[in-house]
Amino acid sequence: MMSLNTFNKFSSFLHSEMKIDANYKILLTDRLGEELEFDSLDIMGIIFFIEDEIDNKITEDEIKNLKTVKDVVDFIDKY
Amino acid sequence: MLIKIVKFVVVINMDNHIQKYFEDAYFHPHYISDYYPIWYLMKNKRYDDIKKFFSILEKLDTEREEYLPYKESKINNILLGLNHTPKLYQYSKIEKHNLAEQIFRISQKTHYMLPKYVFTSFNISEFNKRFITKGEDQLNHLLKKSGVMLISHHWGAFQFAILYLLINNYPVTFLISEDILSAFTDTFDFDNYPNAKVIGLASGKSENSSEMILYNSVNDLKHGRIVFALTDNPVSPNATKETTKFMGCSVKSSRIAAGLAKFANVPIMHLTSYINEDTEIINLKFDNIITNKEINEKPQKVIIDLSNLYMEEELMKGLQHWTYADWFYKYMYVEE
Repeated sequence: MMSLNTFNKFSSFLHSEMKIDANYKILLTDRLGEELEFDSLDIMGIIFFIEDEIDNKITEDEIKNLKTVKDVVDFIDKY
Repeated sequence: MLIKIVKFVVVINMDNHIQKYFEDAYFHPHYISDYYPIWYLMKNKRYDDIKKFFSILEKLDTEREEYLPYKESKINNILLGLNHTPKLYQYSKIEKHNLAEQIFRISQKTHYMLPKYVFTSFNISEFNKRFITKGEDQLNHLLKKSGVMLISHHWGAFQFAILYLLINNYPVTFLISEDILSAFTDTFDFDNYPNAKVIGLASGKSENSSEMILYNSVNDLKHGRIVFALTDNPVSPNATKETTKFMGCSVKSSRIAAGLAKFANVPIMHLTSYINEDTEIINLKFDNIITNKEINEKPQKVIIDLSNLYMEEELMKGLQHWTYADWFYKYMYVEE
């Protein structure tokens, strides 16, 4: 079950740190590369956000599977 | 040790004459096999002896019938770049033409010097005599405390800076556009330097696992290595969401160097390089440190602007060293 708390925390991070417009309502289905228009450096910022949250390193395969907001939230919640 | 020499300059809009010249010029890969006996003979020679030998090839090269059309075409391409550079709008036609000729001359000098430097690299003390460095102590001082994000542009003697870092065994990770990775690898033979790593960054939209590459680069910085971003004029790979200014133009802006430094919490340092045409000595200047504090406190765009502004100021001190002025035109967003 997805945690609303994680989603809110991640959304807040995207607005404050990743410069997503404050008026834009982030959806779980938003794709990082498409709707949110993140490039590889942005994705790296998200990776470091995740690592802070889970207090662990993530692997290349795990990074490859992070395509949407939901993927990120689910990944954090698994820990 | 370095055993291959290739010419890795790409000329855009090459016509047949330029293509023909590049295919047959002595520094071209076709001639590599012919170098092998020379490697043996030249191994412990001084630079002047090596230079004497290569001067024969240089003379023959420039006497080729393709050489003059090649030169004319290159100068025209350089002029195109200069004419679209707002910073130089106040220059007269004659000044720009003279500048284009100077740029061509130094650019050609660079091509011919690279093999000579590679040959000289067998003897480290002889090789190091070819360089005058400034601020290297600052680099070493920074390295005692943390990694360093080192930035240089594609102008001046940047190829020689790569050689210098390799030969002097610096722990360095080179970030190079994937498009030219193979040519660079052939030239510099990175595998033979245990302290060196080279990483190809995918260009454009097809960012094959760029995240992982950048992630590993941050870890390299955290482990006290230099990550050397060799950026186009001023930059082209990947992160092109923002535009900043360089030479008065809006340019595609790579946020990579600023981003990596921020994530790794390390300072940025700049490397500029110049060739003394007469002595063929290279000047390397390690300077303009942007501290971790500044990187953390200021927006990324400001850091990129600071970096570009410094490189622009350095370039303006010796515009004849803008050896890729013809490339610059292709990489910038021209503001009409």
